[in-house]
Amino acid sequence: MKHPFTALLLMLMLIGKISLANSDEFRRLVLVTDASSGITSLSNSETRRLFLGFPVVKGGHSLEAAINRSDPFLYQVFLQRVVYMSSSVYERHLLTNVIQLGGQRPQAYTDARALISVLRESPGTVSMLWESDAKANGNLIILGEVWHGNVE
Amino acid sequence: MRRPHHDLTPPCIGYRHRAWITGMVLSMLIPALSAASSAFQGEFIPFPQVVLHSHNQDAGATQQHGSSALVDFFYTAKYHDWRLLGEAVVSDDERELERFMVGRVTPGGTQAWLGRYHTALGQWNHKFHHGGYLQTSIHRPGIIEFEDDGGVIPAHATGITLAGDQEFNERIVGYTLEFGLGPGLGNQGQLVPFNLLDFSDGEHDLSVTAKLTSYSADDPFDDSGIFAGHIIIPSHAVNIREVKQTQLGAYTNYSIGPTLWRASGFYVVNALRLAGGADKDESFAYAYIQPEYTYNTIWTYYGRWEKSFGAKNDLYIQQVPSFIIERAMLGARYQMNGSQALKFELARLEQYSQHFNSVELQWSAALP
Repeated sequence: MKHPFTALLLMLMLIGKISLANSDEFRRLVLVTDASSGITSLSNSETRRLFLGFPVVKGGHSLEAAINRSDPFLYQVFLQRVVYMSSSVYERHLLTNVIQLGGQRPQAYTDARALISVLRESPGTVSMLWESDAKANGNLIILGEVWHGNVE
Repeated sequence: MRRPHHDLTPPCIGYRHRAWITGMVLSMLIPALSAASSAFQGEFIPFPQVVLHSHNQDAGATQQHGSSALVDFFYTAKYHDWRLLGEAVVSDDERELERFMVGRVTPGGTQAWLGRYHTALGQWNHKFHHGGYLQTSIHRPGIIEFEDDGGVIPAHATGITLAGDQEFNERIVGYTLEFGLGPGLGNQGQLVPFNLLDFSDGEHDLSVTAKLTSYSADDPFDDSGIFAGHIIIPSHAVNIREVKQTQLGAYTNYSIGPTLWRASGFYVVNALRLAGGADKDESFAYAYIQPEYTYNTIWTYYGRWEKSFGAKNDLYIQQVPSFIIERAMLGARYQMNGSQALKFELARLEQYSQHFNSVELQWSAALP
């Protein structure tokens, strides 16, 4: 090769690009509940109403929302794809809802394992998980996809 | 040995005794329920706020420059379909049990409540209650102010509330019906709601309210509604014996991009029975529009124009000098971390038969 330095540079850039591509992970965010609930799907508007704190009944079950805050990126995707609002506006809305209807705001979980055990123990509780986490827990059923893409 | 006669008379249970009894019953009931079942859930949320204000002149009962602090203590409990709602305000000049309701909310969303509630007139009562942090602005529009802040239509009543909603073609239509005892007109220039801790506090009569609301199933924030109410207001004002008041109105919230437009109109008819026995019918209208521009997740800029039409010469309105006849206001809301907000407002208003300018700064929060 006439220009070994250029070839070396190209090779390094290629390796760098492959390395960068490998650092991105394809992930899918899914809506899940325990299989024993008998629920198989939720529409977009039912999902939004549920996470906004409004009553949603499906298959005879009064659904409860559980917010997954174990992963900041997952929570941001949830805010943008499900409730369409910033974190502070969402929290304000949940406060508005609970002071009108009473009861309790949807519980937020910062530990994914605690969230999964709540999903298993309380049929009718619905939350968001990465698909890999959902599939690793046989009792959970996927109700729909919220988002997919590459995550660094 | 016979006890003296005066020992047989029922003890007089005053305000403090009732408050203590209520507190003790609740403090015993809540842990008992909590222990009884894991289905018991509850939330306690204090909403504190501090306001600094400066007016360009003395106006009525307000100080020209001053401050006020208030905490709204909110508590709710849930046991299966049953709910308890309580809201008490403590400030430098007020200690009041604002709401206390026991009710049932079915899984389908149908609600039945018993107790002291915020009426369904307008939209502020049911959206923000006393939680100042939840409002974009520092103050509520004058027409929907609470009774002790210059309100002239009932904000609180005690009785039964029924509510629910139904989906029609991807739109949710909600209804609210309320029957209760509304406020009376005191001799201190303000309406006095029924006091759950002191039944002898003022005279009260029937208050009936109905509201229909509608919003998209996908977007519950852009909602609209119509409402109507009727109340008999016993009066302790010098020249009025009774007011039969009818309220009609509508409201809407409409978003265009980052701007939310809140607007509402009221028409109020007051049929007065005067001290001399004569009758007098009066009416007035009130409207407001409040654009709110969300610049980013931290800053929201807003304004409100509100005005009454025909209220100045209304004999009933003249009994409540703190009622806001008109106001033009510009403000900014700064959202802080941890559910706290700072709000800054400049306003030109007419209140206490005076026009004046006002600058206000409020810190508010929802804890924890």
